[in-house]
Parts: sequence; C-alpha cells; structure tokens
Amino acid sequence: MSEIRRRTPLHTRKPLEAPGGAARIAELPFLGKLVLRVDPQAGSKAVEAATGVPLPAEACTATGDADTAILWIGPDEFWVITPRDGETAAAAALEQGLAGLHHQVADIGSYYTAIEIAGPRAREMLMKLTMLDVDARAFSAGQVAGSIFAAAQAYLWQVTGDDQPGGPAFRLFVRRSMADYMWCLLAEAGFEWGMPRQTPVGGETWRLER
Amino acid sequence: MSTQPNRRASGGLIDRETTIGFRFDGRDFTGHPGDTLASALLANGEHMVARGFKYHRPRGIFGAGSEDPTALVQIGGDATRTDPNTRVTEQEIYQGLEARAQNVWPSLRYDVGAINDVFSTFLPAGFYYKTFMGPLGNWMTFEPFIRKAAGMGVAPDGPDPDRYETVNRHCDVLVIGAGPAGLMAAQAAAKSGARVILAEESAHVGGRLLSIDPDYTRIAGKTPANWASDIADDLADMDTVTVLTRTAAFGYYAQNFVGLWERVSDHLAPADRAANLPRQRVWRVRAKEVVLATGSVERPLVFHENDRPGIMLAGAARTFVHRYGVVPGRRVLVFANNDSAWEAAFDLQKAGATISGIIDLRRDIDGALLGKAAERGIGIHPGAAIVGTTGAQRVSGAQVRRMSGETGVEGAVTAIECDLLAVSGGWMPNVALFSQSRGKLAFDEDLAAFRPGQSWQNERSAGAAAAVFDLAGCLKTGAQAGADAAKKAGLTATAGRMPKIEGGERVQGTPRVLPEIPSGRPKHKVRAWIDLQDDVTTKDIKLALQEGYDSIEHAKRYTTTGMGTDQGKVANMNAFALVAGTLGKPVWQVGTTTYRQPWKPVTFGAIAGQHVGAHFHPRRTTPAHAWHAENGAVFEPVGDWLRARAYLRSGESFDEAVQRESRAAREHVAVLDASTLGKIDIRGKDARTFLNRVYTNAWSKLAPGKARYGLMLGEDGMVMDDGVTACIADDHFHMTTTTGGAASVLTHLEDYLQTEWTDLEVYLTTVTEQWSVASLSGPDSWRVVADLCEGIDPDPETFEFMRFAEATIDGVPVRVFRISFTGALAYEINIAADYGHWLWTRVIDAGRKYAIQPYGTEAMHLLRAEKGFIIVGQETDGTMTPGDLRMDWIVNDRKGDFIGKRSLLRSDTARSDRKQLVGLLTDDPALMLEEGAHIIATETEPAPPVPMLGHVTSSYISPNLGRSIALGVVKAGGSRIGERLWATRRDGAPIPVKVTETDFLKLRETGDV
Repeated sequence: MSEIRRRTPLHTRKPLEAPGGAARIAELPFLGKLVLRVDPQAGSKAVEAATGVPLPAEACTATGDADTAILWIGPDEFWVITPRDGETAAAAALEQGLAGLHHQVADIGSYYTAIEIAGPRAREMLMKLTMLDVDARAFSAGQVAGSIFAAAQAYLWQVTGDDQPGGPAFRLFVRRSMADYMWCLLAEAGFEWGMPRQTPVGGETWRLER
Repeated sequence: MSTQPNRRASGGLIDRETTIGFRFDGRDFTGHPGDTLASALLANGEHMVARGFKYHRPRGIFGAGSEDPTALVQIGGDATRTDPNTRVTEQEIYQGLEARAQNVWPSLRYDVGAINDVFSTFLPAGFYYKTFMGPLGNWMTFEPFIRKAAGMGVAPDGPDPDRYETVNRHCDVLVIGAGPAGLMAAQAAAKSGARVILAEESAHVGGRLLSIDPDYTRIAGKTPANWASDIADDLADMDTVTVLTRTAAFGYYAQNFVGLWERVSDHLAPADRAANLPRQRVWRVRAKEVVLATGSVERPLVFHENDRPGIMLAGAARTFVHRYGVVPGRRVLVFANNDSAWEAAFDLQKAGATISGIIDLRRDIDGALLGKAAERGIGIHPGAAIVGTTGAQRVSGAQVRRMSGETGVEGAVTAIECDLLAVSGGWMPNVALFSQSRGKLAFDEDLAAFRPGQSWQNERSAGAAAAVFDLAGCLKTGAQAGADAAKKAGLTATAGRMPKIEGGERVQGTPRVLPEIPSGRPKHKVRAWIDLQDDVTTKDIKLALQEGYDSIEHAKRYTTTGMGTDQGKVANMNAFALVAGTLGKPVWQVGTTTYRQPWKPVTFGAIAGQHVGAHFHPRRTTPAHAWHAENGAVFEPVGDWLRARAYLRSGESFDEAVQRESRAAREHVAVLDASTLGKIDIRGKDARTFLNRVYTNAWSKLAPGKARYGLMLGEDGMVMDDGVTACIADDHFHMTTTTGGAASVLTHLEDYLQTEWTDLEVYLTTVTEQWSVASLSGPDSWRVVADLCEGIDPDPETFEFMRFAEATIDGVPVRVFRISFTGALAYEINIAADYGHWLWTRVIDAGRKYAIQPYGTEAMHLLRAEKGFIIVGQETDGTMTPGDLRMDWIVNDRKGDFIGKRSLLRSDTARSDRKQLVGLLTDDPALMLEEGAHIIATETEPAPPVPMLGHVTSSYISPNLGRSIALGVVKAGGSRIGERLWATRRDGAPIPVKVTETDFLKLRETGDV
C-alpha cells in the first residue's frame, strides 16, 4: 500500500537549475486553484470581501500577491490562487458571498499544477515554447496570459519582476496529464544554459492490434 | 595537398594565417577560415563540382551564394549526418570537411550517366508527363532507370543525432538582408528604440559591399567590409537588437509572420560544435514591420553551350575576388549586356587575370567604359555575341560573331581562348519574399525584370531589392525604410545622416535583354540552357509552347524549369522572357510562376525543432498510471491519452487477459481506470433548460442526487457524444463526455452558450482532470465500496441505479455514483486527482478479499458489447442517428427543441431503411467476425459491385456468453431480427449470421443465445 496519499503530477521530478542561476524550474505543489465565473461588475465587491483580493480590472493581469491572487482569464472568468489547502475555505467564502448571483466556483487544484520558471534566461526558455510575446517589454510582473506552449494549453503568470534578485519568476499552469511533457520541454529549453535534460515518462508497452 | 594557386596574396574576409584541410571528390585540398567550399575549390583551380540532373553534363560553380543553381554536393561521410544538395557556394569549410559529388557514377570526372547527353533527343521536355500518359506500363519500365539517373543527393539514414530548435520572437522591425540597405535600415530602426531583428543569409554582414573593390570605395572613411562590421557590432551591442548571420528568411507568411532558418553550427567541425547549442534553429518571427533588403540576383545570358564549368556570373566572379581573395580564372572572357560586368573585367585584371576580351550585346557603350578598357589594353567586341563554347570539364574558349538585329549573327567567327567566362545579363531585384508576402510585382521595362509593386502586408523593400542599385541610393532607401518601419511600429524615428561615400560602384545602366542570344545555328542544334539545375534548354520551353502549354505555370511544369532545389532563382526570369518572346507577348502579360516558401530548402530537422522523439506530443497519463505500468498493463492511445488496455499476468496472452478480466467484471469484481472521461461542471439557474437543449432526452425532473444517460447530437441529427450527467443541485450538474470528445463537446456547448443562447444563465467549466475515477463492476463491487467508503451505504437494494452520493475515504471526500458501463452492478468512485493513485491502490487493497482484478479498455469494450451498449466512434461514424442505433427511447419529442431535432425529421433521416444497429450471431459460436466485414444478403458473394447491407462494427469472443458476439449496422436492421444474412471475408465463403437484438445478456436470459 502506498504511503503517500496525495501526489502532484510532477512528484517524481526534482527542481532543476542551470549553472550560475541562469534559469531554474520547480513544481509548486498543491497550490489552491479555483475557477471563478462571475460578471465582474456584479460580483467584484463580494469577491473582494470573500478573498481579500479585488478582481483584476484589466484583462490579462493579476491582483493579490504570490500567495493569494486572482488571475484574469476571460471577461467573466478568473482563477483564484490560494496557499496549499486554502481553496476549500476560499470556495466556501465565495459561494456564500456570491449566493443569489449567477456564478460558478469550480475546484481545479488537482486539475492543473504550477511550474515555476525563474531566472534571467526564463523568458528565452519560454520563447522556445510559446508564440506569446514574453519579451520584457510586452510581458511584465502581474501579467497573465493563456496560450499554447509547445502542444499543450497553459496559463502563464509573471509573479515577480525582472529587477528581483535571481531574475523574474513565472508560473506556468498546465494540465496534470501534460505536466511531465511540459516539464521535459522546459528542461530541454534550458539545456542551452546547462539545465539537465529530462526524459518524459515512457517505456510503456503499446498494443494497437487486436 | 594543393597550394591554392588561385589564392590572392591579400584581401577578402579570409584568415590566411590558418590553413584548413578538407576533402572533395576523394581528393585533399586546403583553404582558409572564411572560405566557402566554392571559394576554396576555386582557389585550387577546381570549377567542376557536379553533373547535370538529366544529361549528366559537367556542372561548375555558377554563382557565389544562395542563387547558385547547380553546384550541389553531398556533405559528410557519416550516414546519419550526411547532408545532400548542399550548395558549395554556401557551405563554409572546416578542418576535415568531406564533400562528395552526387548524381555521378563511378566518379565526378568519369560518369556513365553522361551517356544521357548523347541521347538527349530521347529525353525531351515533358518526358515524364509523356511517360505517365503513354501506354500502361511505360512508367513502370522507365521509372527505376529514371530514378537512378536523375537523382539528387542521398538522404541521411537512421535517426538524426543532432539537436534542433524552434524559437519564437516578436519584434517591431525585422530587416531581412544585411547589405548596405539592410544595415542602414536596421540602424535607423534600432536608434528609435525599436525591437529589431537583422537577419543575414551568409556568414558575414555586408552583402554586395563585400564584392566591390575596397581600394576604390570608402564609406564613412572605412573600407566597405569594415563599415558593415562596425555597424553590425554596434547593433549587436544593443539589447533591443538581434543580429543573426547564417540565417535565411525562408518564408513570409500571413500577418507578417516570417520564418528564419539559422545554421548555428554547420560551419564548424563536428568536434568544435557547442554541445549545448542546436545544429540549426528556426526562428518564428512575428514582426510589426518588415524591411526587405534582399538585394538583387544577376541574370545569366542564354546562349549556345552556356553550361560549361568555368562559365560564371560576372558578379559572382567579383565576389570571389574581393570577398574570398580568389581569382577564379587566369584568362577571362566577359560576356555582358550591361555596364556592371565591365567592372568585373577590370577587377579581375587588377587581381592578376588576363582579360581576353569583353563581348557586349550592346552596340553603344558608355565612353568612359570604353576609355577604361582601352587604358587597360582590353579587347572589346561591342554588338557581338558568343555563339558557342568549347571545353569538356572546363570552358576553354568561345566563338564570337557580330550581332545582326535582335535574332541573327553575321560575319566571321572569332575564336577566343579563356578558362573563365564571366557572364552578366543584368540584375534583377530579389522579389521572392516580397511576392511570398502577397505583394504585387511590377514589370520594369528598363530593367526588363520585375520589381516590388503594391505591398499587401506591413513591409517595404529597400536598396537593390527595390531596384535601387547605386550605393548612395541603397544607403538612403535603407535608412528611410528602417525609419518608416519604426514609425509605423509606433516609434519616433528618422533616417539619420548618410555616411560619406568615396568611390563606389558602377551599376548596370540599361541592359540589352534578349530572351535568347542568336547563334546562327539550325534550331534543332541549339543547346542554350535556361535552368542549369533541371537541365531545361530553350528548345524544351519552345517545345512546351508548341504543344500548347502556353500558360507560364503549365510551361514550368511541363519542362520542370525552376522546379529544382534552387527554385529557379537565376533561371526563372529568362524562362518568362523566352515564353513572352516566343508568344510575342509582353513579359508582364505572361507573368511569373508563383514564388513559394521556402526561399531555399530547409531541413526537416530544423522545422521539427525540439519537438521530436519523446518530446513530440504530450502523452497524457492518469494519476494511477505508474500502478498500471508496474502491474502488467499494455497501453493503447486514446486521443492523446495512454489508457491501460489489459493487464497481462505472467505467461498470459493479451486475449487470455481480456477474457479473464471480462469474467471478473461479471462474476465478482473488477476495476477500470475511467479518469480520462471528459467532465464538465455546469452551473446556473438555466442549467436544466440548457441540458434539455443539448441532449435528446428530458432533464427537467432529474432530482439532485440522481444521474441520467444522455445522447448528444450534432445539428445534422447525428450522434456526436454520449455520457452520464448527474444533478448536484437544481442549478448545478456534473456532465461526463467520452474521452475523445471532451474538448470538442465543451467547445460545442460554449459555442451555443456564447452565440445562440446568450439569454441562458449557465457557466461551463472543464473539470476533466480534477477527478480521478475508479469504476468498479461486478456483483461484489458494492461490497468493496462499502468496505472502503464512509458515510454511504452502497447496498444495491437501497442505493438505486443512477444515484450518487458524497462520501469519504479516510476523511478524503469522494463522490460515489451507481452507474454502469458494463450492464453489471457497478459503482464509480471519483476523487480529487491528487489522491487518484492512492484511491486506486486503496480499491485494489480493499477488493483483494473479493479477488478484485483491474480491467482495461479492451475488456470494457467487450463487456459493453455483451450488453449492447454503443461506443461513440465505434458503432457511430458521424452518420448514425439515435433511430439508426435503435435508441428511439432516448429521444423526447415533447420536451421542446434540442440540437439536431429538426434534422431527425428530414426525409432521409426519417426513412425506415437506413442502416440500423443489430446483433449478429454466427452459426458457429467459435467463429469471430472481422470488424468492418461487409454484410450481404446472399450465401455466396456476387460479382462486383456487391450489393452491401452494412458492416460489422464490434466483434468479440464473449467469455460470459461462451461464444462469439458482434454488433453491426444493417439496412433496415430493426425489421430483420431473426433473418439470416452473411458476412463476407477475404479468404473463404461468406459466414452465415443471424440478426438479433443487441443486448446479448438479455438474449441469454430468454434462452435466445
């Protein structure tokens, strides 16, 4: 019987770093993640009261801080990020605050995991995987965007600025089933600066014929 | 080792301090850093490097860069790394480089295939076409020979050992080409603060500046090469600017998306290549504005016997002299129709060659040029033409006659000896990328060539690419274009001050362009090449026109002109002009063939980038994947998912495992990982209305705590998905979809919500992977659930079918559904996916005392077939209505509208003789039908076309029924129950089958099986 009850999709992967701190990647396990659907005009006060964080007023931005934040995903779609195990209380508070208002709160904490990509070369690593403009001029701390990274859909959030020691830090939220694929491609992207290469989960026996 | 007899003592971007050894065609040579294979071979006096595609005639170095049509070789001896069709004019040499001639046997110099030249009359234009269209069997006969004879290089064998990468970039201004115009454009744009990418195809910036005499020309007081490097160095120091050399823009696509191909390490010896860098990169650039500074391409002259090695573009000869420090010939004859080639003659003479004459098609030559030629003692032949050449593997001389009008020659033949014939037919703006961008070309009568006309995308051309050939003009239009581009990208920019120019280059003036130079020979004896790579002569094009292929696109395909790896960079304009001349039409009316991406061949490796092998595509795995892999699972891909198909015990075959698992799921208990099913959280007061509209059945009365199966149709009335949806609260539902349909169903539903039913208060959110699902089947399944879960009594007596409830396992919340894939008593446990692996191991542990077995998708398919349950995508193929599936019970006509309802009333969907789902039982219970086998109404198979009634959709050996079973679709199947039909097979008589109802378990109960 397995001792570990709760496992992130990347629980077998250790954080990786390129020499000299050029770039590093690490899974941020068990962050609370909720999808919140609500008309921001109608729901903003209740959301702020429930979470302590205002809804982002601008598209593709985040409010709050690295621990508790709300990300703008669409005109009536937001992600509420909480510290580990904070999502249950946050969901309950949102349900209570938004009662009577058309809304949806869905727990996606297990659905997606967060990979932190940080360091002076983090942007260039991301540029190898996405057609989003992630140049510092176009994408800065507090910005959020959903796009395709390699062949997987994911959401990117720049948490800290380029002026921070150690360079900017991004979080990439990726579906759990695609996390290993993304992890290995990120490592591959960092290989140029000395990050160790990773081999995706594999070795299974396939049977295609009857 | 040779001593590079044609190497100049100084000059060029050549590091003479270092000597590099390389091999070509089995012989050893030396060169220096800065050399291409072409310049190093020329330094060693080697002109012949290849043989023609069709006639195997000797082929030499014709150009000096990517425009060269025919000097193609195979690089590298290692079978996995060898690179075919590489232009010697682009490949830089490195220590140990190995290059081989391709398309030759046994060797470059003695080639058996050259016999084709003798029989050239039997390989006319349209040879391939005629062979295809000729009597059946012709192609079969000729094909192996043609393939062998008309080969190019050899593709590498085995997996590519090198790494490649694709990277994405956005910029304000992309400048393509780092000649004088491109450098000025990049500088002007960069000064504005714009994000700039400057891409240069060759190894060094400077472009045409590297091909002019540095003794005569100064820019801002510097030699042209130094001026260019200084600008590029300054640009590279700016963190807003990326300067890329060895980087060709190969494709200009919509929305200013441009593909750049960077050869990162092809110029280095394998041992010197940085291990952390890819061999090549593709840069996918999205540019707000583009400056095309792609320069110009020199046009060949089309004359009799113009294909020998040693015949070279005059501009290329100058490039070899000034950029590479090589004198490509000792006795040089120049044949031109414009002024620029005269400069080539003067430069070559200054570099040490003897000029045996300048032949110019024009009668009136500028006095200054005549004076310069006289000063230098160079014999001139104005108004004359070359009518033939000599020399086997290198040109040795030419015959010259006076021109008579446009199409004739007259007077005595003068034979002139030479070992290099430098030709120039004028300069053509390089409009390939402009045309790719969808820009409209304009025909310039003075140039007798096309230049950029109206733009379609956000780009502008500058310098020679815009038909501005003089140096001052190149600098000025470049700076202006860079400033304009930056301004349009939203920055404040000015062209800035122009650098002072001393000296400069004489440009072409007005060339005298003739589609074909007269030779005075009978038509059938003229062999004047248009396309050196594809071996297309003027005769071939005329034949194509004569045979009616008078559209330029048809003439191209019939003759293959411009269809080689060079895409006719130097050849096409001459082909257009010849077609126009022959048809008596203006060139603009004939038009051009399409300039397609890529500008030059790009390796597949670079295009695939890092997305190869294990990184090719996501392999989606469930939380319990590791358990499956450790417990004998064999997997199958379902969409992007890997699902366990069966769990093989040691010594057990796949079929045995499936039989065992299928029995367990009916006799005691088995568990399936159903985590991959699509799941959608539905929330809002109109959720029921929404479900009523998207499913065929009614949802108004489904109580909280209950679930229901639904069929979803497309607008065409055809089944698109199915699944169970549970009611959590009146305004809250949990929908499941098929594994493969998860994404498309959500898109379909969002589409309706956002465009058709904007009045409905409903939110949809995918929660597919939030939940990990263990699906237990079998009479003991409830006991496992009872032992495992707290807060629920799953006793089937009280916990009815299609109920669900919240529960916990060790305090972890779960949802338990009593639903069934298999028709047996079954429960589904849903848990947050972080706990998915743990849940699975808990189920296995808890089930041990009931001999629980994991079962895979194959057993799942078998089990549902026993019950007659459909699989969307197996029993359905996008043409099946619920009626066709004989599931009319699930269509509720009274509840109001739903997607696809109207389509079910169409006469075609409503008719009774459509193919309908039935069971098919063979007389012989051990005989299994083949899925896809056709159903016919006769005992023997009639002659084709066989009237077919339908086909088998699913077929298994059922352990629970102890015989074979099959589902199939048969015309009017519902009214054929009990009928005898036959299933065809490839080898043997049709198999008799009985048409039955689909629920085989029920048939067994009634004794009908």
